[in-house]
Amino acid sequence: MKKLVLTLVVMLMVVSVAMALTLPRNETFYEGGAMWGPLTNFNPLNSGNHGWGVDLVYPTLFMYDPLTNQMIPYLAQSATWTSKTTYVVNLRQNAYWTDGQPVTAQDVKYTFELPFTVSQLVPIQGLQSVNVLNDYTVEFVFSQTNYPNFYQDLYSDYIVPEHIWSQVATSDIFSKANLTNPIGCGPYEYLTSNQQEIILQRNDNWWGNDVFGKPAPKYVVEIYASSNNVALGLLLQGQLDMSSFYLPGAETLIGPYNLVTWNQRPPYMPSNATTLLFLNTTVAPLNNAQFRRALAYAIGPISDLTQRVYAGYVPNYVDQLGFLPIKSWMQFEDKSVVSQYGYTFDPAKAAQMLDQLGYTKGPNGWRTMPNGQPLKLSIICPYGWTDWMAAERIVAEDLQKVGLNVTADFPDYSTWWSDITSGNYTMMMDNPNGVSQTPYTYFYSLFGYPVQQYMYNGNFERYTDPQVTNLLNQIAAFPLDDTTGLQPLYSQLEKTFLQEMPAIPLFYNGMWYLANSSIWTNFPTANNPYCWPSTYNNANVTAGSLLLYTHIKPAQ
Amino acid sequence: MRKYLTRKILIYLITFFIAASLDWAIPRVMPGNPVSLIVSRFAQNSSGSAQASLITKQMFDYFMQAFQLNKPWWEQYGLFWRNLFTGNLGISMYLYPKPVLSVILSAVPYDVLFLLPSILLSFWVGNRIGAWAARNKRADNALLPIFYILTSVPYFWLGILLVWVFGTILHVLPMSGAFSYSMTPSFTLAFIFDYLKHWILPFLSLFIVALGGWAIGMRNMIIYELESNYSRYMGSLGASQRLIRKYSYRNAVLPQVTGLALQLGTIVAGAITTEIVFSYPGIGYILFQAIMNKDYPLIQGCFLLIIIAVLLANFIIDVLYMFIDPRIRIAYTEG
Repeated sequence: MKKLVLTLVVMLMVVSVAMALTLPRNETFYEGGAMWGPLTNFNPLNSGNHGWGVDLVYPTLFMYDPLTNQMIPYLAQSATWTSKTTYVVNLRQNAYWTDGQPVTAQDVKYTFELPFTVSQLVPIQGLQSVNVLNDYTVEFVFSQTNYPNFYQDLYSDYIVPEHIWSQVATSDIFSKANLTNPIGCGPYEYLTSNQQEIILQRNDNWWGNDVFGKPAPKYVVEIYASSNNVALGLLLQGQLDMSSFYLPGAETLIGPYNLVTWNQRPPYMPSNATTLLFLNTTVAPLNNAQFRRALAYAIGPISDLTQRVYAGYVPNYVDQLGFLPIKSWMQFEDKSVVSQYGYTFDPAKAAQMLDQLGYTKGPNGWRTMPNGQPLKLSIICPYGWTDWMAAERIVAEDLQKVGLNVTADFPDYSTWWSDITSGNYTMMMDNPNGVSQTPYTYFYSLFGYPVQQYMYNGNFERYTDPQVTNLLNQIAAFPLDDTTGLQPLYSQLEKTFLQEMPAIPLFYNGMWYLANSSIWTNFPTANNPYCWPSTYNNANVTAGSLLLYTHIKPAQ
Repeated sequence: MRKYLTRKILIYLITFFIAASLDWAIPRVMPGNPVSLIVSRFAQNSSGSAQASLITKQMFDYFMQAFQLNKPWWEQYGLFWRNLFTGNLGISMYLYPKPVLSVILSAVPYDVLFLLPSILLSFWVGNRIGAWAARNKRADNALLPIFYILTSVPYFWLGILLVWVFGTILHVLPMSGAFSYSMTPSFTLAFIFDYLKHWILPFLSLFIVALGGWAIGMRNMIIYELESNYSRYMGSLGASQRLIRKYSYRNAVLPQVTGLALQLGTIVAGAITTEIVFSYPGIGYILFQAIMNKDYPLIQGCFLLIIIAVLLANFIIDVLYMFIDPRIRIAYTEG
């Protein structure tokens, strides 16, 4: 009996040594902050819901780098507009799927035409057809070109292999989990995932090694942590190489633990999106543009808000239009419009404006409606978003100081979401899509979407103005780099924004980024800005991760 | 014996029906629509066109239909029972498109493996220490305050403390996860060793806190039993202290066993705070997220498991009662 047990144990040990997969630390790159639950699907077409890492397995035609405002050819080799409605893309001829098939024009056509048959996918605005000219040349034909829309798709739509996906029933394409041996053509392959992490393995025979360089880490692992404290502990101990978690306390972290971040001094983080105070323009008194402008004066573009909440992580000002400090947006900011129609931090002026509008103070010290009715407003942001909650309290205080009875309320996320989509609120905090190639995406998200019963995509303030819609349509019809054609339109839009103030910019959200260089070095910084320091595949920027892995180096 | 069991089983069936119906109804009376939350993920990623908002609306309808939320409530309720009997728990909304059953199956083993030992061991050790303290004045004076402190310590606070001492300062035990991030679950010695290393701290944080509660309960019960008439009577008849203690322990342990049944049943609910502190994979945190996201199928699935586990644990304890309490056995066999 004893002998039998002993034999079994020995056998188990032999088998176990053979089967164990242990990632060598010096060949593995650990990162975290992009996943909020275990991986559920690796479906590149399930946009907005797929797991982390899809961009490393399924390349796009182009990458976009917001630091240089350049499109970087990825699967595409080059592309030109042959007419106002025809765009021809030449593909790289050496790209292969991991099953050995070449990446061809047919795959591109298939990917971009899928939304015509799969009803859950969003087609590109105005796209009529995608034509295969030869194996490696593909032509996009538009009825009317929507440039911002199309360019964003060029760098955010993952190309999928037709010979695999055409086997899937149309009704299953959107809900396919795609977790068993996904076939891609990127620098990494999906290896495995478990309750704690997603593991990708480098494709050593990648066609792009000669074009972009070979990525340094053999394995890239995205860690899923249920609390930021855990992530902090891992980062400080050097078990996590790069963090996209929001970890407060820059001064106590960066210096003492020798962490890398974007800037050496405040603001430490690059700005990634603008958080605004949305004002429900269908509710009195917020339907009055002058009232909304008065609120802007009470809050102001420069305040100690970010210092009190983020302590040096993000700038201590916000652009009056809410524009991010990136070239692609700022090139269209009309300084003369901003100085003429802009606002400052001036509570006295805000009070004076409110007095003039008839919102005078009642016996209890709060301002009332001009007809004497009580005036009560509330700001909402989701409970648990601690930094936003702190900011919201400060904004409410600012408004209370000019005599407005404003409360800061924190419903849970789902209640907040159902309130803002149905228009059942007075004021709320949110941030539209951040970094992009054109301020059009920002403005469209702010007040482009037509008002309907439920607003899911944007225009939460429910602002309607045919002139604005018209301006946005005109902007969409200009190529992105046609600054002479675009500037007058943007100037008009900016003027309308400042005069109407349907939303008030509050602060920049940081691209949370901290790295520990004990295992890997040469992380991107403001002095070495080779890529946007993001590993999200939904941060609207696909250039981040590939360039990160081809640039970092082992520490020894 | 049979009478006892049939009656119990009937009661359990009725309880299950009511509990499962509540499990179906309660998520649905929460305000807000879960589908609008799923849609939000797709909507906020769209690139700004009137068409996108049209698709979002279509997607809303698609999910309403996919999750059968567009049907009247009685039909949904009927479907719920039909699916239940065919073992179909549906697809999770929060973890779309993962089936609820596979979400639960991949998380529950972690819970069971660290909650079951901590509950059973703390029960056993706690009762022993409590019983010992009850008859030893000096030990009682020293231990009782410690028990009270232990039992009132929040799990997560002790968890953070343990992480700080053993992980951050001493560097002897890992701070988070159920296994090293460099490993993948496999049935190998290296993995099992690694798993056990990660298991110690979460186990201790639950074990130590629960220990205090059991010990206090046992101590109080024993003191009560030792003061009771039968003990005094036995004493006056000249029975040994040992024999009296033996009888009082058997009486005192009964309410403790009932408490254990309830504890065991909640294993599948996990220990949410412990899981968050240690970033330990388990069903607790997933259930919490499911509730926050109003994920009807996942909430239903998790609670169904809890209901079944609580009923099962109680049933087992009921059977056990017949062995540890002769009065119950006799009441049903001879009554």
